[in-house]
Amino acid sequence: MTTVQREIKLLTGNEAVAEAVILARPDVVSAYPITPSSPIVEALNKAVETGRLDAEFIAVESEHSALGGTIGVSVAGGRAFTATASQGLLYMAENIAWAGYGRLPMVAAIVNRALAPGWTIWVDHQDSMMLRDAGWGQLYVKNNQEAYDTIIQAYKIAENHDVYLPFMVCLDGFVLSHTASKVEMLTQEEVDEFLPPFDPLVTIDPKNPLSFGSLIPPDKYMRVRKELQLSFERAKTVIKEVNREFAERFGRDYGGLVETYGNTEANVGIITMSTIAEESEVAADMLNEEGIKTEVLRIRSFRPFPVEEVVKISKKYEHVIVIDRAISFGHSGQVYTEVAKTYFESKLSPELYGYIMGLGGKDVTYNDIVAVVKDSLNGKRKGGFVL
Amino acid sequence: MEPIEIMILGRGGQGNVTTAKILAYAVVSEGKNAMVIPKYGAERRGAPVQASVRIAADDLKMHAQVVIPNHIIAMDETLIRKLLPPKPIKEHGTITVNTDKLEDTYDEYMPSKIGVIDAIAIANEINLTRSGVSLISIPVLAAFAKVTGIVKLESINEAVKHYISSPEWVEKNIKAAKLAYERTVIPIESK
Repeated sequence: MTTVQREIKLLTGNEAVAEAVILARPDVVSAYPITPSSPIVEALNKAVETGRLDAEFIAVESEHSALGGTIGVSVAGGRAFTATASQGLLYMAENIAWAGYGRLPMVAAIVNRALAPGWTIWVDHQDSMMLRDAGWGQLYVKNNQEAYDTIIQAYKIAENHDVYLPFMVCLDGFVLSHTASKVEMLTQEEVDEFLPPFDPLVTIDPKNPLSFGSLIPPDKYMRVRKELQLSFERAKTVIKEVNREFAERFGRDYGGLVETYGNTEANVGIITMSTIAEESEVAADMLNEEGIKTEVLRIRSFRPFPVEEVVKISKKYEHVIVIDRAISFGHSGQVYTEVAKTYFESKLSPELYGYIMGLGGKDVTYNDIVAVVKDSLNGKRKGGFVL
Repeated sequence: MEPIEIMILGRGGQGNVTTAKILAYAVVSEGKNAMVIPKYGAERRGAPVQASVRIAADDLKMHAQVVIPNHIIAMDETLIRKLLPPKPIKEHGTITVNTDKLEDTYDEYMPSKIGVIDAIAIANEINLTRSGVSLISIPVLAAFAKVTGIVKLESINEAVKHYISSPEWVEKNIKAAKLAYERTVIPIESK
């Protein structure tokens, strides 16, 4: 734990991401602007132009090509970054799967924005949730400081040889991206010590030609996919280690895969992600004051999903309220599904309620969360959309 | 501590978000925590817009929009009823409004104070104008500082230096802030 007096800045979530990317020293930024992620791209473009960031900026004509750029860079052994949101992420989807299934380390900031139609620019998690199966790690952050810190952590996790996967750092559109708050800055020297240069396992080299992603017969394909799954398992350990090292060096601990807040002997658990989780901390304070013993279990890493942590923490819960900011239509919220599966396999059987809240930028306040918890406990609600 | 919430009511193109950032920067420079929460939608020049600043002594965990603020800052008087529901603002709340003549007492909002500043007159007096538009954000913030005591005038001046790069505009804004601080009147105050 350090006691250094650090520089404090008032930064939007987008500015915090851009500042962290600069400290991570990417070789290439390949990006196409889309609201609400555009200011990240603009800030990085400016940093390259002014010489503050010694990197190549590839201005492409679409998100699909933006990720094509980062794929090329990663294959060539470079450190790559991109940022996008919403329809932009979906347009990028073919290459997202290519980078994930090809195990190409890189980091993308996903500024979560709902999908059209109806046309919208505001937050929900439908965009990144649609790409949850694309072979990328997904870390969801609760505030601007965590967005800043997690970009730096994500490179260290992604490039770890036991992991070797691309990672998305997901931050809520507008609620974080355009909201300015206090961010404690790290110095270049500190980040250089924490995050060494990318040490690629394999790279393309004209003198030693290699082919990536060529035709593969079914039995080998199965093996490669199992390897991908195993690398996600190993990523769980690495995410926790990187978080621990970050906390030791810089004094900020996000719990690794999950973070808890509130009454450690709670019989009521609120499980959710991102800013709704931090808002839930305020709700938990209110509920605890009223004698409803409540804890917030924030899923920070949605992929890999922290099964062991969720089981361990949930053992004491009698009632669990899951809040999703997205939905798998025809089924349920994605976090709810994972929690229910996890409980079933580990024979935990608390009363479980899944709520869909905050779609398309609808505000979710601590009062809304308190109401949903109380309504669940007294049988007035049993899950579903909170309109 | 419950956060203090301040809603800034302005018009598209006036730099409402920058005004909120200047206020937040000033507050942070005094060792407190602040968050700037713009409300984005289909903005257009001249249309009513709002941005909020949430202030606390320590952690700020609330992310939702401000709905019922403690304090209102209005760049013109017509914005108050256009943008806010007719509900009381939080206890000990205030309204700071740019106008040459207060038209109403806003009883339904139950403010403990209403502060008035003719910021357009100040801007015109010292030529704080651009393309024929009087720039009133900083003098109105100075009036807010006078009415509420939440932030010091010096801190606003420091924030102006941080956010405005041209020395000429910094100087004019700081001058306007000083005049506004001196000329702010509080015609309505509950004892």
